[in-house]
Amino acid sequence: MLTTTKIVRYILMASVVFLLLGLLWWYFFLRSQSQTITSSDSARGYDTGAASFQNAIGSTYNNIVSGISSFINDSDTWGTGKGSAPKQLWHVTKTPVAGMSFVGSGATLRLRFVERSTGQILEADPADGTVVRLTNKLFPKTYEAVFGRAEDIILRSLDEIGAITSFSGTIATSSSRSSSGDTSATTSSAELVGKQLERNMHVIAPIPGTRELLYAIENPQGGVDIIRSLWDGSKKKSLFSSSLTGWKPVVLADGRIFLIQNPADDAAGFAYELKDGALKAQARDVPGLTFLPRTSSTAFLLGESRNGSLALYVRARDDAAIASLPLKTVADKCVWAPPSTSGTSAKKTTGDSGPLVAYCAVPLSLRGTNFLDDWYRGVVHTADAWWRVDANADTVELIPVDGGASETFDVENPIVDLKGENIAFMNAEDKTLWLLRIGTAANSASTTRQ
Amino acid sequence: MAKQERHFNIPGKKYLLKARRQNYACGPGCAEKKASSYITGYNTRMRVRCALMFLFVFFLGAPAYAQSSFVSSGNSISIIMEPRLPAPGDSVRLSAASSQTDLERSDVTWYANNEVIAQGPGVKEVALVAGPLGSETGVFVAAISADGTSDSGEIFIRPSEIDLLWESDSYVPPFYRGRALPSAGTMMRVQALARLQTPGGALIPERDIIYTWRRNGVIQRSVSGRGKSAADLPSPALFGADIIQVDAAFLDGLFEGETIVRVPSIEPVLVLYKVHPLFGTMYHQALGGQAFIPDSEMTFTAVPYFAQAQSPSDPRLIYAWQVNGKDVLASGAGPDEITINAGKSSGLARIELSLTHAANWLMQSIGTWSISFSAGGGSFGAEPFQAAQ
Repeated sequence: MLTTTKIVRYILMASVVFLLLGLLWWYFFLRSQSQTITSSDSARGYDTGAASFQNAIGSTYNNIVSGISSFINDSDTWGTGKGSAPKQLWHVTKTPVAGMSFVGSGATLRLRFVERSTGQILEADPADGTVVRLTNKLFPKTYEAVFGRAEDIILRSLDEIGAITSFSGTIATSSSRSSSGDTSATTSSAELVGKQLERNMHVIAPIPGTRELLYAIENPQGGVDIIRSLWDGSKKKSLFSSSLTGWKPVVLADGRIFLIQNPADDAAGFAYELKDGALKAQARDVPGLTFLPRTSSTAFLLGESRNGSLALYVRARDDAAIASLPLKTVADKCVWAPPSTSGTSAKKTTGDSGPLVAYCAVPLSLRGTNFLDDWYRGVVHTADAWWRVDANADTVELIPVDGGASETFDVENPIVDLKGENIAFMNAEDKTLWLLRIGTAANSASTTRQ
Repeated sequence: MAKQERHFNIPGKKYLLKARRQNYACGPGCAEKKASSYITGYNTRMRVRCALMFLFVFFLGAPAYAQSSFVSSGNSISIIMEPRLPAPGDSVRLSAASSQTDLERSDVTWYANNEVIAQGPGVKEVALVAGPLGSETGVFVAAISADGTSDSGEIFIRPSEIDLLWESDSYVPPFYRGRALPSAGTMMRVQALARLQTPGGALIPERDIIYTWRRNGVIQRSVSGRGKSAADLPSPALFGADIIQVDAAFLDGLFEGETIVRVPSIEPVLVLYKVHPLFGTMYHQALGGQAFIPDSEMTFTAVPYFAQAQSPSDPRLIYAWQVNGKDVLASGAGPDEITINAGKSSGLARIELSLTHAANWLMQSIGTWSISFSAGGGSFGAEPFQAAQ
């Protein structure tokens, strides 16, 4: 007869066995779930290791890049240390950027840019392909970055009610880029200090050579005021008021200010120079007008979108006729070579001030009849080729790109460095950053001449 | 102050017409004052000239009745200019007509700023190009009929420039670089930038210009008037177009210009974008009719371009979402957003959106998108997609 003690003992042993079996089951259950989660995370791209701050560009950048499969393209050198010089056409980032600017020149030339997701500022070295993170202050969802002189920058985003916010900041110079792309060195981030500007600044344009900016902001009458202020928003001065709100201000290095009415396909557009509070017409009644003036000269490029077709025109001087160019593109895809261009990047073609050379990205094909409207809405994207425009000779040349045949990009916001040797641009399709070196023999090799 | 005399010499009869011009060396700040001064003086001279002409006709014409024949029928030739208010560089056609002189049988001579530009029997029309802004071209026509009577007419070409800019108060998202276009129910903002320049080079200030706005030929009195260079007008009706015209004239009408523009109305455009947790609304990547999302869950936002709204979440906008034929509620931050979770399925989600307006029954936009998610591998059930709550 079983004693009470034995019964208790059996019960305890059975409990232990059940407990062990339960734990075993729990172990396999958790393992299974972990595999599922890992698999799911992997599919969503969140299988990257823990954040590491031990490389030059920081973990955020790597995590984002590796987390989004569509951005992954490991064909280029970047971010992990000194490498060989990038290709002539360099896909600098795989993630969206909010804006970029060249700083320095020659051997110290850097391409500074802002991550769209974090608002952090990074610098790319076109010489060796390294990317260095400058700041680590978080500005999530930065839609637009405006670069001013030296270390000045404005980061623009949206608040919870959809109003535009603008943070005006300066990169504190106490920081260093000591790593210079060396992976073993820890990057000491620079500090971005500044303040929020007024809400709902429609557009902002830096005033080159100064610590000032120009912006359009809605006035009580429903139009906009064009305001000039210091970089921090102080010392405002109203330059012009308009009943219309859709203006794009452009300030050239020579101080001239232009106001270009926002374009729409087939809708008459106007461009003016703003001088002493009055508007001086530059281009009038042009359907789908896009306009690009050149500094230190009276030259400009003019794009037209009419009846589903694009056309590009150039005017070399104010006393010259407007000439049609055999390129079907918009002026938004063009950039003027700087007046002081030297070296091989631009053939010597004298104009008012330096060579009148522009670089334009031209779509290989166009779809639809409302290209401008659709392009601005992100509905259509193009695959572009770069062309060189000689405004004095009214000639164009295709710029051959080494190894770029397989790369497609839809150029927007192109900028050129001070020496006219590099063009940086964003791919409108994914907002990634690209760099094209034009200061090579390739630029002078013409394959097509019109 | 320089004076210029303009002499018009007509064979058989000599007229001397004096036109004095004042050339200003106007510096900044004095332009408006001198423009007014010039115009005032100019008006006075014109009145004096008209009075003298009247006296000339009266005293010469009256005796003419007493005589069997008179030497001049006066200044009875009227000149019609087409376009009526030319812009700089415009081709201008001038036509002469007279009720007293048979121009067909007369020897007609045309002068522009004292120079003969056309001459011959029955030359009633002449074409020339308007000068630059601020120029003044005096055109004089003289006719001598077979019986020796003479007649004349005069007109001045003062080119002006008027730019007519327009946009709408319809909705476009932040950072949009294009123009807000008018749709039915929205308001259209129009602005005239008039450049009326005196021969002295002074621009007439906006406050001294009378603007007359016309919409489809009908004067819009409430928005017309002195200094009213901008106007808010209703946008054209659905699928329609309005003809907007503005006439800008200096107070006494000596300097005047006009321009006209056709503004079409469009239907609001619904565009669907991803709302990325890191990048925000992907305004640069509109979803096409067929799209692939490499995730099992995604939030989308519909942007009603050119709609009568202040924002996509404007309470007047009514969003009706459907996913695979089933009505679903908006599930994002506002009625314009929807989050779709396809975690337990894979396949195609057909999103349909109908957008209407509570106060504008003309507004209705419909969008349809077929979106393929990369889902979690579960079986495809009868209701695989649901709006995440």
